[in-house]
Amino acid sequence: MSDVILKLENLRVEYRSRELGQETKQALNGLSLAVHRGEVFGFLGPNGAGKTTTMNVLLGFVTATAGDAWLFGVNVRQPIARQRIGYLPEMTYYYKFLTAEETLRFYAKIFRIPKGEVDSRIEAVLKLVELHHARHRPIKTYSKGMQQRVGLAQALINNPDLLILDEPTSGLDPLGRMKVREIIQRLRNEGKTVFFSSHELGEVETVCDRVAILHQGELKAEGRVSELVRHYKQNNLEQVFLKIIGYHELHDSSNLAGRAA
Amino acid sequence: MRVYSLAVGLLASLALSLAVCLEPWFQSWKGSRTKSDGLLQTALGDGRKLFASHFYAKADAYFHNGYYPTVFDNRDGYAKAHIAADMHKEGEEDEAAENYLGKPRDWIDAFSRHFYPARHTHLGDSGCGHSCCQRAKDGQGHADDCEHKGHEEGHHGAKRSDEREILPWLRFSEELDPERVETYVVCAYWLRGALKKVDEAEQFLRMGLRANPGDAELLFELGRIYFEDRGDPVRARNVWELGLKNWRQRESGKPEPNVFLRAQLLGYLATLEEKQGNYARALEHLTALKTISPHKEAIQRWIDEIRYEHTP
Amino acid sequence: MNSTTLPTSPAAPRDFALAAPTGASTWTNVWAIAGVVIKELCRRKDFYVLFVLTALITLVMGSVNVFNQENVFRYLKEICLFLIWASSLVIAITTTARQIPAEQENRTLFPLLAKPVTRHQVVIGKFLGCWLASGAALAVFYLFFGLVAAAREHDWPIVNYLQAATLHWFALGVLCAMTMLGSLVFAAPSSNSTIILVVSVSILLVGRHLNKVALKLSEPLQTVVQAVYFAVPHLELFDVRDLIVHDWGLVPWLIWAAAFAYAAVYSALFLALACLRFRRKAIH
Repeated sequence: MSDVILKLENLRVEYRSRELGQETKQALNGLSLAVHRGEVFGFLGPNGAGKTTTMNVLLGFVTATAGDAWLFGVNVRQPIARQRIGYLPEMTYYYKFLTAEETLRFYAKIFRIPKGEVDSRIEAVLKLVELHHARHRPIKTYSKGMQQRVGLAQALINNPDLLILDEPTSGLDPLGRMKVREIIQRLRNEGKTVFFSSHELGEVETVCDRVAILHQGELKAEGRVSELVRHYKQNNLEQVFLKIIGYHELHDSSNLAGRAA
Repeated sequence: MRVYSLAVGLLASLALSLAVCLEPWFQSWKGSRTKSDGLLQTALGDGRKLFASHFYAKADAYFHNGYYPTVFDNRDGYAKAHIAADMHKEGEEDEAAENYLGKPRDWIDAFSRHFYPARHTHLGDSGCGHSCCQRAKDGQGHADDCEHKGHEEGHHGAKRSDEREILPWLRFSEELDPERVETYVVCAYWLRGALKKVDEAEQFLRMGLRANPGDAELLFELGRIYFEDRGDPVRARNVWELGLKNWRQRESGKPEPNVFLRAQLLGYLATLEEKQGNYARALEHLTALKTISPHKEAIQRWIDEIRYEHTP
Repeated sequence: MNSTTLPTSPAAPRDFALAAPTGASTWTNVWAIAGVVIKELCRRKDFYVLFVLTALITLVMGSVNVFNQENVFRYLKEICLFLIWASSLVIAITTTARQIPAEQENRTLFPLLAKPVTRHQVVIGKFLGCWLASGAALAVFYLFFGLVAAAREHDWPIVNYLQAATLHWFALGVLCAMTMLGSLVFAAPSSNSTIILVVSVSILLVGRHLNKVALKLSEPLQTVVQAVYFAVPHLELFDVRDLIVHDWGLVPWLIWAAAFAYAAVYSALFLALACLRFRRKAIH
């Protein structure tokens, strides 16, 4: 059985503009990546690098212009590829008229979790995300943090082997961020694979086994954090990141231009 | 918060007191209040006449158990069929003539006829609406080779129901357009004829007269109630003579006066006077009637009868 | 956060061999999505407001004194049925029109499509939910109608009412499918609702007569109108109010079944187009 859970091969995504005279925007250009079982993989890049586009392709929201992607060896175009994954979007929105329990029950039905197991699984997940006390309240009465936790709960309801998280700590307070880190650690200990994007490089450095850095739709670097730090002769991941995206050259050239003026 | 509640309470009391003080004065004010429109009239505005027409047509549709042509249908066929209630007594099968729909033009037309009333019937008919069945109900029997011979009452069509079902729509039509005289006349006809509600018919006609003062047609119908239902020839005469007088004032100057109405008034007055023994008056009315009626021979015979039997 | 671990499911595959999708799994997803739509209708105020309005107007109209005549009931049946049709059109069209656009706007579509659910299942599930929800609303409306009619008429032709209600429901199926397609074509739910409402009312009023109108026109307009006449779904076929009000007999059951087949064909056509449209639609 292959050890590769997630695989991208020469992925290219272009967005054609509907307006006349506007150029086609290339979001991804020949991205190839592989994530192995049990890894915690960080997917990094500045805004507009193509991280969300990559996730959209993995989840079937967007069709790649060229190349392919696989989850568990199944092409992502087939819905069954999503049977064993959990997805937490950056912005968490769920049916406001449903309660947390009803939401989880709905997703449990889609995952075809056996009827005898649904109650215990919902109970466990709600306790894990500390929403047990609010399970019967409609989601529209929840705070932002509580809604984020509903998102986490629905991502975990099917006990996924691969968790895809899109900026999971975005908008959370320090306590919330710590709790997300704890969950990621727990999942790693259970042998799950986690694939997540984040801007919090400090967090990434702490939890990730490997990272990939994307810039302008292209993969610029991939590997263990320690290897990348050594290779780029920097002190930490943040400096590696800035070097890869060319921050210092850009900064120096703009300084030169300023002095010349 | 307490101050706010007190202020609101005070304002409410003030408003109520004002209303109580002003109400008696308003009641005595005979200005536009008596002529003010109801809520429905105000809401619909001038469009109410359209609705009144629609409700009047609705009453007619109800009389035909929902079988009624639209603006898109062949009205000529229906107009002919409309008086076919009398033709039930004729020997021939007149069903084809009663059918404004005609033959189905396509499969959708044919299919759709299962979903709406597609046969000419009247409230109070045998039910299935076939002319032969109506004649059978009246005791004339089916022909031996009639395909509807086995039909029982209520078969295939509407159940029997009284003409009362048309009344609400006439009521609504009157509410929206009190100046439509036809509504009062038709409604009064059914109230006193089929439903034996003479008091209500009279009341309705009087409502019509309030909205249309001195209307000859309404006076004619009112006179019929006094003469045929109340047995009060004096009031009937007064009302009919007033009707005749108003007709002369309003209709005689028109390029196409309602001659039929005048004929009806003269005919009924003649009948009344004959029954009361006022033969001279009866002859006066019949002479005037003869000048406008198409049935001059019949009227002449009537005149001759009166002269022969009652004049010295 | 507490230290509860997630229970592992003995039934869930622990290796990476994935079970192939089955027809049963498709219907599970469709029913799950439909269930959410039905819950939504039950928790929104639309239905309750329209029902109360219908009941109020019917009861007020029922209290009108018609020349001291008792047992006048046809007009009441007509008014009640008219209100039921108007309310059901509003409920079906507005409920369906906001399904997919609301999912996109509220971004609830992403967690849904991130599950093993196809876009086709979403469209069909939403349609089924709207149709069933409209049917549930219809059942309540017709029950009220039956009670009002029975109170006046002292008769309860239940089979006739059932037949009328089911035919009405078939029509709502076609409308829901049409609206679902519209929601994927038109930009805003409000414009979709308005257009579908206008189209459906036009079909109900003049659909039956287009062939007669065509005869009075010259070419090429005659051909165009004839084509429209044969192409549009004839919703007026399902409107048997006149038969109910005027106490005509039952529609033959074979004809009723043919009407159901007619509705099914049009609904399937609109849904197929909707699925095709949604398959290509960018949702990010």
